Amino acid sequence: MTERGRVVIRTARARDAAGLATVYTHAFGPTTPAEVRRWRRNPDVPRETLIAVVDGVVASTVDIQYRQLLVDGVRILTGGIAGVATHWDHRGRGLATRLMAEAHRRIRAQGASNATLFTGHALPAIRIYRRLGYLETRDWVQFHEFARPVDWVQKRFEYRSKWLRRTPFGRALLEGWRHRVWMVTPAWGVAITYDGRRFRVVAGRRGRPDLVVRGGTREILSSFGDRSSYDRYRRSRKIRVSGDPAVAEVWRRLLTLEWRE
Amino acid sequence: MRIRLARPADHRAIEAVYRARAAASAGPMVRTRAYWTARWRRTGGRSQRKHLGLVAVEHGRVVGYGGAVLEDIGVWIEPPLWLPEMDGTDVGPRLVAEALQRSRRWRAAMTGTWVISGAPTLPYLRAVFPPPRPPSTLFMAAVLDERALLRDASRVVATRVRESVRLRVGRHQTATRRGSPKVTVSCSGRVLLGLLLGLRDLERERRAGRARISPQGSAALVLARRAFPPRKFWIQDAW
Repeated sequence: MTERGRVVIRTARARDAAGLATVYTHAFGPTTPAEVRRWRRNPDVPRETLIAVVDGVVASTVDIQYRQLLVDGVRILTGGIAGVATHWDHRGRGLATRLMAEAHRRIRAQGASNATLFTGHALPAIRIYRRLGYLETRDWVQFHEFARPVDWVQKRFEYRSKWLRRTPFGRALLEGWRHRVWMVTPAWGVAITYDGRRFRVVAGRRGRPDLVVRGGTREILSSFGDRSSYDRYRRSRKIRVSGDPAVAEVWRRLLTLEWRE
Repeated sequence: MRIRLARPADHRAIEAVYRARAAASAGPMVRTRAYWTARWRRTGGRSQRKHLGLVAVEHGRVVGYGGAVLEDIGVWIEPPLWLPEMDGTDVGPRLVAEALQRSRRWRAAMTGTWVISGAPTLPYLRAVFPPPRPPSTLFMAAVLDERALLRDASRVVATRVRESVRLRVGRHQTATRRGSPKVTVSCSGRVLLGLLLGLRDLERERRAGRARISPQGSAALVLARRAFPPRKFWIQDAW
């Protein structure tokens, strides 16, 4: 964590693209400054990107998208909140909350009565949203059918190989972590290893595992990127984990992409 | 009715289906010209290899659309939309079935779809997909300005009932029309926003004491129900 510096909250400019790309990479996945510039160049709705700058570094950001909801054809302006992200070194300082407060002030100034967003149950930011009054909610229902689960697991770990080493938390988590994990279901199984550069996923139970994760296809695959599902399935023993608890804890974070409680 | 691949000549008809659906639903977004231009650019030309567009046609007229998109991790079935006059027909299930069948050519590792709970396609999706994963993603809304919310609600209610309805949130109140209001609906801003977006049901809120209707009596109750009818939540095409 860096020393606490002066926080400046302002609208993002074109030259902030590199800083925004770093913050988005820390929060969402690999993002380049060119991608940020492209998104900002072609907005399909009016938007404002707010940033919190600490000691000249983009530390946190919130995107306001001024959208119009239709209720029986009547237009209702809503402040769509998106892209809430904070630099790894500046988390836990209330920057996102301050940005959200500023976003609400600007949305009200535009004459909107409400703000709306989409988020995940397992994301830490949901606590901020609830505290700020986002209390009218509706769940999405997600259906998946896995024709080739092993291929899908490979793709998910390709993504982790690409992303995690570009982030401070990923590098810290994977430093010295060289283990083999089996994921085993009644229908299929994979062995996953990390060689310090990338994950390798091979079908079948290869080598001697340090950790064995057993469960049904649905339970195991639903846990990717979703801490609450993973923890729930573990509590109900629909997912069973055997092996070193320290390896299991890192594995949980790799699987669910949950970084900080 | 038949389902076929969408052609560039169908674009205007597809836009018209969206507009008609949005005009009779709670929650979809206004689609700007920039949105449609970007969408047709995204789904046309070379990218057709990764996008499947379908239309439902009846008597030569496009009455619904759906499709699928191939992404890195698999195929996503796009929730279908259809004209309000086609409610109660099998247009939605047929668009989904066709998208599922045609997207098999991609031989994707995963096929999935997302819909908001309460969406009309949910029963059919439950029938064709394995059980859904536990809820992980959600829509959230907050009231930022109660007076502005009353203005928004007043405009919507005025299109639903001819009589004047008084809406009251805390210290603030408004009437939907001139003249003496026939009924007053009082609730918190949060409940009013939920009613407006179709997230809450007036009858349930009234029974739970979170919404009050005065004067008491069946005439006022009927009017209040017309002002806030049970809605099918339909924000699936929102972002």
